[in-house]
Amino acid sequence: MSWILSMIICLSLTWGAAGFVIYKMIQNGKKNSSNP
Amino acid sequence: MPEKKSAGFNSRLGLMMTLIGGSVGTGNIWRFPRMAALNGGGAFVIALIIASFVVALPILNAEMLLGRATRHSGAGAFRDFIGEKYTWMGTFMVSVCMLITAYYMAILGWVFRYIGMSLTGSYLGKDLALVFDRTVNGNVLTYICFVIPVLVLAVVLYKGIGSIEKVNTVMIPALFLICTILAIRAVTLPGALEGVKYFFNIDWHYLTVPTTWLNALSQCSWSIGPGFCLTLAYAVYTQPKSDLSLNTSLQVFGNQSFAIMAGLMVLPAVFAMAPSTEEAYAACASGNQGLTFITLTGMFQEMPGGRVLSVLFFTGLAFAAFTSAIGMCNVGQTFLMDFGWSRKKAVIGTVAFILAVGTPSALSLRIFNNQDWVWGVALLLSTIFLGFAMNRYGLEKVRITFLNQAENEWKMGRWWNVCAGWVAPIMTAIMILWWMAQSIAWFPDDWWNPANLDGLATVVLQTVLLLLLLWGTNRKIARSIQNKYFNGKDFPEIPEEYR
Repeated sequence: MSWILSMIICLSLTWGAAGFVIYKMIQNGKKNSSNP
Repeated sequence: MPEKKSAGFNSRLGLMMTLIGGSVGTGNIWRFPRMAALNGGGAFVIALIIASFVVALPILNAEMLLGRATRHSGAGAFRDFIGEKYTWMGTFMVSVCMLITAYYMAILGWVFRYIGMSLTGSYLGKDLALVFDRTVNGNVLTYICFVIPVLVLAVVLYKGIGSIEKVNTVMIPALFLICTILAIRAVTLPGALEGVKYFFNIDWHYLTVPTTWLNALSQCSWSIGPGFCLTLAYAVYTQPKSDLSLNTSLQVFGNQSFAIMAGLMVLPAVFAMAPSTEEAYAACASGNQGLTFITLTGMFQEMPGGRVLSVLFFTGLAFAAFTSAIGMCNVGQTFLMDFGWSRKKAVIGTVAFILAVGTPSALSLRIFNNQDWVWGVALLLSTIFLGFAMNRYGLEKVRITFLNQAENEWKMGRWWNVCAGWVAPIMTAIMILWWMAQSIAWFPDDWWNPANLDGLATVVLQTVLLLLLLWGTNRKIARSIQNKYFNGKDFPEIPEEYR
């Protein structure tokens, strides 16, 4: 497997996942802003 | 009429930054890049992610629900959740966390010294191993640099959770910015591409090697921190309806994202500056302290703009260590407040403990390494205790009642029962046995001798002494913890005394 493909897999599983969780938290926060 | 001060976290951003701050520490910056380099690069990242799913995430969820459901730090949480006779398990978690904090603060002392030395250039042209040795052993200036952050921590803790939020909201974005600048500089060095390739290349063979998995599990336990009690203590200050599963997921993925950033900061630089791949590999094998304070410091000397980069690197390391230390001290402070102590008294008690117990580590690298070894292994027991608590209460009951509440974005399936109740404790037990076996292999002649500060016997002796102390005082501690908020049905409001 090329290292570029490996990099894409690793970054998706870490940065991508963190970004998705932050997006969900912001979305969730808008729905329920009094519950941090 | 002035608005009533919130008892818990004031904003979502503050909560997010505090959870990431607690989870991201020196383990991300100085341990992860080494471990990735030594265990198959991308293969190690994949093993770490899988380990996080089966160990860290389920156990962090357990911690989060325990703190929020009982509104107590470790000891009170175990007392109310599974009964008075198991209070010692929670007290053990708090004790180990505080013992780790005591020596962990010594790192801040070293890092502040290196920021100063980078600014003045006083280590330039010197034997860096000798500089490190003189910095960490019996150095008065280093000791002062250890005491000052402890006092700053006291001020942050005294001002309450709002202050903790503010510090993390400044330091975590600053750490992200610093890591980004350093990673860009590292990957643009001539020859750095080899390091990037080495870091990300997934060598599938490594996933068939047991040590890759054991190292990934160790990294997951020591860096993300399941069983650290830090999440449990922060959970005390979260609102009953805040999303539990998103909070813990952020800790896991936030931690790993910073780890990848640190890998991009360190490995390309090491590969670009080392004369050969073998020497780059040897630098990674030289241990956390060797890589950070000797190899990287030497490389900064040779890079254009190296002194500025060195100041940035050590400042980032200081931010990572400080934000984790805040979370760990919050464990001790909340524990003392559970006994009815005022915030002021609890902060003084926590800080006095750190200064008293951390002083030997701040003055001697041998003692620091001993404490790091002993309490690093003992910490792993906490995951087993949390797994036991979930089993004792009833895994399915916990999952239905506390984890799958309507507010939670992600509902936990039955996989959580399997992982939190069985896989995580069993994997952790295997990890403990592996570290014990390794220590016997390192010192075949005197692993049994407690005077060998790096051997197995010192771990067993110190851990057993702590356990005996906690068993002996279990009833007294359990009965001295005031108030009971746990109702077995839902999460109670944040108690008045935390306001």
